[in-house]
Amino acid sequence: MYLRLSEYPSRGQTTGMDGHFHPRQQINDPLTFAVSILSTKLDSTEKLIMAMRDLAEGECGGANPLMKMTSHFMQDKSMRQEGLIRPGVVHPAELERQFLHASEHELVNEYLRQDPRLHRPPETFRMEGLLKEMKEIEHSHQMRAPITAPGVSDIVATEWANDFVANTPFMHEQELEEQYRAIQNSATGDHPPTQWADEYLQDTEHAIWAAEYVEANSKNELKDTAAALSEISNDPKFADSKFFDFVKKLSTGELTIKDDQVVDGAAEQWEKEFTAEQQGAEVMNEEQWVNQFDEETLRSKSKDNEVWDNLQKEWESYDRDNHPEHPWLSEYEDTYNKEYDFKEDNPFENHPDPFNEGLQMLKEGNLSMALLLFEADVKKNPEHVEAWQYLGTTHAENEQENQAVSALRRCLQLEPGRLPALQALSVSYTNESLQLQACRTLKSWLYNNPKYHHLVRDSTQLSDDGMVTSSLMTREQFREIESVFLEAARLSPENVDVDVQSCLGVLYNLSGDYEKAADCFRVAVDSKPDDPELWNKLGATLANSNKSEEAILAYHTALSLSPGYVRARYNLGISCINLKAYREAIEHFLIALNMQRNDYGSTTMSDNIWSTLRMALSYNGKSDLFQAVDERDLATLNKEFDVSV
Amino acid sequence: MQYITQNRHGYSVDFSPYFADRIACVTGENFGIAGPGTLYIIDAQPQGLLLNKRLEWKSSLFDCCWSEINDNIIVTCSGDGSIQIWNISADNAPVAVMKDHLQEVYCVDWTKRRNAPQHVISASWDKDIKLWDPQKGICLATYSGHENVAYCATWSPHYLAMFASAAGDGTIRFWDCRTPSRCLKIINDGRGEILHCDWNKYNKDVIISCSTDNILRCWDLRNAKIPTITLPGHQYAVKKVKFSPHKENIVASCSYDLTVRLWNIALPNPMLEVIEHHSEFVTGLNFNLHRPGQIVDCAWDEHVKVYSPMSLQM
Repeated sequence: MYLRLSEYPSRGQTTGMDGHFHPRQQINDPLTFAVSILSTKLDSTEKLIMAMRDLAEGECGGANPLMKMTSHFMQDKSMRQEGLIRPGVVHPAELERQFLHASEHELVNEYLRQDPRLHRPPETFRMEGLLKEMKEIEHSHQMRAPITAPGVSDIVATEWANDFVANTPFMHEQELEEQYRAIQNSATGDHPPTQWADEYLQDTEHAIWAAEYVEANSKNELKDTAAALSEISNDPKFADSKFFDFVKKLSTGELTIKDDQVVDGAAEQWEKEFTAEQQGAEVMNEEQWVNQFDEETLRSKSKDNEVWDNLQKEWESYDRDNHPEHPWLSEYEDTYNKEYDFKEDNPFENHPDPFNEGLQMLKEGNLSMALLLFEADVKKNPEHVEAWQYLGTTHAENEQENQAVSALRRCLQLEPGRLPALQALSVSYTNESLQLQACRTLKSWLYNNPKYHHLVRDSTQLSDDGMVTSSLMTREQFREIESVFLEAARLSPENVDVDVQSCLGVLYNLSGDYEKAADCFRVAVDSKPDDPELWNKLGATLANSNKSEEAILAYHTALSLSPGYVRARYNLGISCINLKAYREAIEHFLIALNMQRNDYGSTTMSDNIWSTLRMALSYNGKSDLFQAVDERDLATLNKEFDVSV
Repeated sequence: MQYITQNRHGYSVDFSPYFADRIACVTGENFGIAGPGTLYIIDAQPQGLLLNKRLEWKSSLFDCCWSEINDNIIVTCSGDGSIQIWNISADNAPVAVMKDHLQEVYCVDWTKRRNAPQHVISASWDKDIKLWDPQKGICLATYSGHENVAYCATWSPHYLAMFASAAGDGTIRFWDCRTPSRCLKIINDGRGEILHCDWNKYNKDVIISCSTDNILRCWDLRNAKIPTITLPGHQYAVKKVKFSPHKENIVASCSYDLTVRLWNIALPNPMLEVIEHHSEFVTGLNFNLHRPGQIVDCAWDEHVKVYSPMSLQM
């Protein structure tokens, strides 16, 4: 229940920290906007080179030129989505919607309408795995639309890519598809499209035809891409650029690429001469090489396995002691599905009543002691639902999300309808950017709440079945659950249900609607002003919408209500970083770490805080203290910053 | 000091680990889009940069790296998907050509240790990284996983048998060359294509990457979910980034914005200097291992420049 929803400075600082880049100005400043497009285009010089090289060389490595060409442009498309749209609009649900439903035109408009950085997602919506998911979506898209012949979407994508920047006359997907199909029919007779798709790569005749078709097409695409690039090369920086000049000539057809040579549009003769000259040149060609090295290569290849074994041995033989192993590899594991990880040597193992003692500690704000006591309790009574719940919520409060998830999941296994646990878990999932899981948990909360049970019409997919293949929440899923929660909120307009408001706030954080989310939490704190968790959530939401000053006020309120609230303290520190108050940030992190330390070892300190502290130190020019951070040497740091324990 | 690679557009430069004044520069005609490539061996003399040797290949050369064990051996990679081993004291043709990649090879790296198997890794637009035995002229292993073209592969100077690769899919991947089937770790930046990355020479767990979103990011492998440091400032995509071999916190980067920038990542205002002396994209950059503070760069304006930036003279 302790929404972190935070604003790791890493993301904020790329725009907000150094003042070069003010996210909100972008949409109003056409120049900056143009530059941002140009920079995307510039990274596509890389792609342009690829595409052009491809045309120039034909076969570099045996891949079907059609496939190569389209794959380049596919990359071009996905790159834009990753490189340009993603950092901004990037909301995963949004992405999926784009993939599934948007016409290319819509995409372009959408992009132009929206300032990519305005709705910058918080770090909590980590993009890890998104790429993979995008692949899956693309895949499922193909599955759902078998009628589209391969290549069509690719060409559309190219079309879109060009259109995107150049505003060349736009061809609608449909038109294009029709056009394509017409040709396709003439080439394949009466085969239904799906069949054609299957045959597409096998049937040589078709493949040749397809290759020709696309090649003809792609030469134009190349021209278009080049045109787009040269058109936007108006940055005075590039006024004298020979490269842009070259690209311009390619786009006008003044130069073309033929047989790996750039040729003057009209100079056929010259081309021939050049080719002859090339043949005479002292360039050793590959075939000679292959011959020369054949013998040895063959010999080696026949011993491939042996070579590999030797390789292993060869590496093994080097002195291990001088080469450290990779200590960070242990991080590489499934963090969400694992069983709760108990701390060793719990001093309270024999405590007569650890649960009530834990509640007492919690009340006093001593989270780390409370954690040990709750752990001792569930170890003794593994079926103690309430203790699991408190264990989970306390971990979240202590900025230890993975442990929180494990404990809460255990709690819900014992009692699937436990409302506080469901609410807390939805927040933890949100913080870990497991959108779909968060969304389902919220729905389950509503379903299990007797007041709102009747509102949930579709009760499938309520169970938290762990890691489903995707963590993306679709627009539909979001809309559905949003409408149910709004309905729930309308049931008692006079009597605000704080929990519903809070859930709705979490939901809008999931969808990136921070303004709405902040409104929900404001309503909630109005009704329940003494709840530190709600204040922290409000703060985190404000911070997510770049209102760090307001966020700080909310965090302070949370901390005045609950001084031991580590997560709020940590969030406060992050907002300080975003406001460049590094010294204050460092102090807050140190206070948080000191709180996490208990008399029984420092095992409840969270790595998150340490690594953010390290970053704050580097901003503050105190990299000499990195070692203390790496060694978790709190005493030295306390002394350096006059933090009293 | 400068050298002009007439009609050839630079892609990469490397200082010899043996001779303080020897540079290799690889280039391509027509900005590497079509036509042949040339490897220049250039020596810095009191009177300027002088050509020592010029070696031709039929396809554009994209990257080069000197051997650690033989002062005359250098490896290059090219647009035709092959990797060439050259002996600059011998013929005008490469002593070995290795081909296994299906598309353009964009990066090669010779192992940075003398006390380790002398292997080469390469990154290609076919999305794969490959391990090569340059003596036998064979490919030993392939590392697949990147979901978009691979731009960079670089050996760890510290961890045995480990290397990092960076790609258009916005990830940096870490591999143990002995286990091609499994990537050790993935850093998912996702904010653009990562065009290059380089290991810190003093801190074994620190790596820096540069991306098409114009920003350099420093990562600590022990906690790589978020970058430890981000360095904004370049106005366009950043092509190469290098850690200094002499000072832990010094970084140099070159970009499509025509500049080379120097950074001290430990400072609150990390950007030390902006060097704008090229008129086209700056594509290659390296530190001199023997002369602290000296840098070489190359660009598509056909100029190779060797200089000692003010900010590195301390």
